[in-house]
Amino acid sequence: MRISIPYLKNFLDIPHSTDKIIQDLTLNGLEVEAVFCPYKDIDDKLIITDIISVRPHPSNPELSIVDISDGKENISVVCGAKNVRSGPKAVWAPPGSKVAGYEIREKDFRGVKSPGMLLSLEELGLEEKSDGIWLFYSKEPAGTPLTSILRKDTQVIEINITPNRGDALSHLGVARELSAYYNLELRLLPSDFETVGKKSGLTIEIKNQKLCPLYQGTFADKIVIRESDIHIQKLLIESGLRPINNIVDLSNFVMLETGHPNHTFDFSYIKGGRIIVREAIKNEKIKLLNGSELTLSEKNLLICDESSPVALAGVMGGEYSSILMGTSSILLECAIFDPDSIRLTTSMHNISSDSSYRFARGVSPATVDYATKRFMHLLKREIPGAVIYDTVTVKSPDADRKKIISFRYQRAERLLGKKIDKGFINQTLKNLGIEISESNADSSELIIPPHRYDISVEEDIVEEIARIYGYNNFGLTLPHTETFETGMNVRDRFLRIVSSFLCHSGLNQVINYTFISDDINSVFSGKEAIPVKNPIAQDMASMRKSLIPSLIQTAVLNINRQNKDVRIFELGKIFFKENEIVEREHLGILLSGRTCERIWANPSREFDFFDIKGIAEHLLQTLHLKNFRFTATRIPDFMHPGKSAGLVIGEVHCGILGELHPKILKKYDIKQNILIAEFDLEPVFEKFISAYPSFSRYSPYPAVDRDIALVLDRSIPSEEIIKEIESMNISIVEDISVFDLYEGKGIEEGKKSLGISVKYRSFESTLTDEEVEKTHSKIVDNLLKKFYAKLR
Amino acid sequence: MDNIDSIREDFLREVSTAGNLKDLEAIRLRYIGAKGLVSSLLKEIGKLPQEERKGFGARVNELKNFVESTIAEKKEILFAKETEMRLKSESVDITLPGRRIPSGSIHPVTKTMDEITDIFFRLGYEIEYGPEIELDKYNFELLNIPPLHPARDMQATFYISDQLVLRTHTSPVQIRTMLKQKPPVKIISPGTVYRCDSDATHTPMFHQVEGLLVDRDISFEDLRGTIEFFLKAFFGQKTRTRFRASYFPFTEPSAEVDIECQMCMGKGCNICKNSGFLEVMGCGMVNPAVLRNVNIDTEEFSGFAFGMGVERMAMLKYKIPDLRLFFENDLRFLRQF
Repeated sequence: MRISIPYLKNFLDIPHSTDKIIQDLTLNGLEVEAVFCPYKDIDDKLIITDIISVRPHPSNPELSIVDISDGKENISVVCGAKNVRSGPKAVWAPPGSKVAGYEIREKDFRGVKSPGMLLSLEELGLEEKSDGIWLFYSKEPAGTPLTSILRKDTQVIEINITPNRGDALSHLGVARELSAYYNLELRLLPSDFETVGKKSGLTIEIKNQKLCPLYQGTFADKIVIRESDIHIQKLLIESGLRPINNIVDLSNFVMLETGHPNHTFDFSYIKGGRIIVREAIKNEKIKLLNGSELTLSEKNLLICDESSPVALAGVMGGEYSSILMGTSSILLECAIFDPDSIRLTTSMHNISSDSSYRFARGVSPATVDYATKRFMHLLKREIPGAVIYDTVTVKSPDADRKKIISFRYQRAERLLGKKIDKGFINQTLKNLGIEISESNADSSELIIPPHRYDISVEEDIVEEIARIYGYNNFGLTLPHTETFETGMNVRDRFLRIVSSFLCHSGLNQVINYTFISDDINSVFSGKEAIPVKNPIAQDMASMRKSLIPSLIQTAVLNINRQNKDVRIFELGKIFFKENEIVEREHLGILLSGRTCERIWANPSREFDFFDIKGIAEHLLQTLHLKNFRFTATRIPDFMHPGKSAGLVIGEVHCGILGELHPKILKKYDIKQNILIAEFDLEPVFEKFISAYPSFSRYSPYPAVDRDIALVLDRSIPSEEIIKEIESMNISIVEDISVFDLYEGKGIEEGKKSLGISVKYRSFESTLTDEEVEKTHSKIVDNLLKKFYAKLR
Repeated sequence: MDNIDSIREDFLREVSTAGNLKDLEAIRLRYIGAKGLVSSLLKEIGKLPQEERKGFGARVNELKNFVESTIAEKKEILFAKETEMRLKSESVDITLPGRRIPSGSIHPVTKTMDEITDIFFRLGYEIEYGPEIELDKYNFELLNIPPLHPARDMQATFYISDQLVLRTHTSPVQIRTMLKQKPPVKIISPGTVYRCDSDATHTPMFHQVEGLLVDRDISFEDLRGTIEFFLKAFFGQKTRTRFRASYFPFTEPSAEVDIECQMCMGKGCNICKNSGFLEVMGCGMVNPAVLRNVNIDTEEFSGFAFGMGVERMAMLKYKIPDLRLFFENDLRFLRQF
């Protein structure tokens, strides 16, 4: 919300600089987000002029010739605005003055010379888009420089008002805050006015006093609609509102000043002179003054005349009874509406206004009278001929109910950790308008002023004391709390081991959004997806069931940016529905491009299946997991059927790894091979908890290595050969490894050559050549027989 | 001059001309090898008359020792010379890069989150996690944010169903923890959170770390001390901080915490909008309404809670200019951390 510093000073004499005010507001909870000077670029040469007459341009019907007076002489300027007319004042930019950085010169409009021009608010930089020139009235005579009213040093601050502080949504509210900080007298502005002392015939009826505890209506006649005084318009401009006409502007002015939203109706459209406040009938319709038509429910509160709705209570007036140029009598509404009801209506119809914004945060019943009086006081100044009738007020007994809180001084001390002087506390409460009704040594009964909707419990009082005392004046202590089980837990340690292993294996961790497009989501998992009801975009509409699609997208982005060697992993949740909502921590890995940079010493090559498998094996080993294996079953159809494997730990299927199916590469238009892995980390974690390394003895005697080169059917998995040797249960076989694989020239079609190395070692003694030879030939003979193999 | 002397002279001449270890070895063999000149002299000792043996023997042995030590000395010199020459020819271009495993990286969000939690581990906090798809009740209602409360506007929410939301903060973890555990509760909860917002300064998904401490006699000064300890540990011991009054439905009193702007060091710049300070955290004393919602006696116990955006902390710490870089995952970004 915007606050004009000069206007604020009408309410109190602040002996401090704007910088100090800004700092104190910010520290005390009304955060100032920006400071600006709206008039700083306005040229001092711009002059306020009277518009004396308006004549048509001799040859261009789009233009007029406007005779203006700068108080000394008459000048004729050409003007293209439709709204120009004699009567009000306007701002003239004479030749030689500057507007928006451009120098104004005398200009010829089809044979008519125009010395300078009349300006719009847009041209003055005070409005986004203007429909015509800026018209206003003012007591200041023609010839007055504009900057003597719109002073260049005018400062406006933008305050971020938190939802609890509805009371601070006005100049009066902010002044009240400052008066509490600085212990300053707050003065209200004049609100006296003359009435005709007669009843108007207006009647008001409230059907639901819970939703509308107070309604005040005032009828005023002999109204002339025109532009308002420059000083009224000025506050609107500084606050970011658009001047419309004198009545609408006054309504907004009073709201900006007092914080009390109000509404004006064209009284001639209020049928029967009756106002009825009631809940809407289901499917009842209202056309609002912003042009929209709403279909209502019983939950919406309406202001109605004898026959139909005239306003959506507290939100927006109806189009039908709005103030127009021809309006000659008005009804001013100042009321209180239930915040919950307003919030329900605005959220139901997705509509909001300056009025509903304030009502939703709570408006004080105590300012209703003042707001009405201020309006009428100013109305009389704007339209001296206006005839004002007696105000009609209807209210529920609850409207004046006082909020009382018991406050214990000890409670404040305990909660704040510091004893604050009772005298300071009581003075602070007084400055905040909180009245002490009863008091003893330990506690006080406090009467909370009606504008402080946010204060309802003892702790709220503690906060008020603390913030006025100054948060930064409190000490710094560390809590005494001791806990038994502290520090990184096993799950956190697990996740950190996984990510640091992958990082040190040369992979980069990525974090992707967890919502993706529904189409893509369904490609990588058959599980039931969880859609987001209100996604921010269609490609973020579904909670991911797999990490793979986002990893692929990350790879695509990088490949397109010439980061062609992609080695990435992600640790994150996946989501699906299986009777209930399931969230699981997954690990995804993607490798693509070359194994390493092309540098002089490294043989670089394309990634293949064994790279991703190697990472998986190494990771499981780092976690001290045993009893895992890779299977060729359960390969999903987005994977290459011959170059993929499932990971099984114990008996649990934990995920897959391998090459992406070419059809997926085609779908994403990827020209390089992609290897991926995705594991469910929950079962891995379960095993990790109990996986500790345990020492096993090793032999002190030397080992002997013997190699076998076997030629056998290419379909026989190497694992079976190793298992076969293991199954022979020979105690001196310490290790078996595959050291070579060869297919092609010299080897029969359909066959492969495998190099197997066996390491022999005994726990009892140094092995002799004879012992090794004897065992080794036994193994070779067995393998040849078992696998129909030949020695190469 | 007898034979011994002439052998000695020949030997000295030959040794002095030996240019490498190979030549030296040939000399060694010629003189003191099994059939060498000196060795032959030694064999002759036995053939001499008894009275000559002693004198002759002594001289030959002296010669043998002399040859051995001379060769050993010469060998040292030649070895040093040859090593020097070999090393000269063997030098490599040390400016070429070494062989290494490609370097990986931890995402700056994870790195920052770990750093934050590590500081709180030092203070004895336990870590707690919670679901990202959360009950409205835990995300809002029990945290004192009823439906339609204006504070809900502060947190634009993604809905999964009427009762389920993508958590807008990690605060529901506080509720879950207090429902299952009696005070003292001293936890930190890092995690992914969501808000229905996307522009230059908001991403629909981001990360938070929140903390909660509930015990007897926990005060606002304890909160201030804890936050001060944390911020100095994270940003450096010289970092200036300040508390500002603010509003959160789940804390009362509530505060926002600023640190001195890391870009201008408090002088005022574009980044801090000339205030010299940057907002980094929200915190406050746990609202008694929240404690009552989880059946904790507010007369006996009090507590504080705090929370911060991990991306923001990372941006300040690593001087990252744009929030959106975190989720774009360009490798040139990731490799910097």
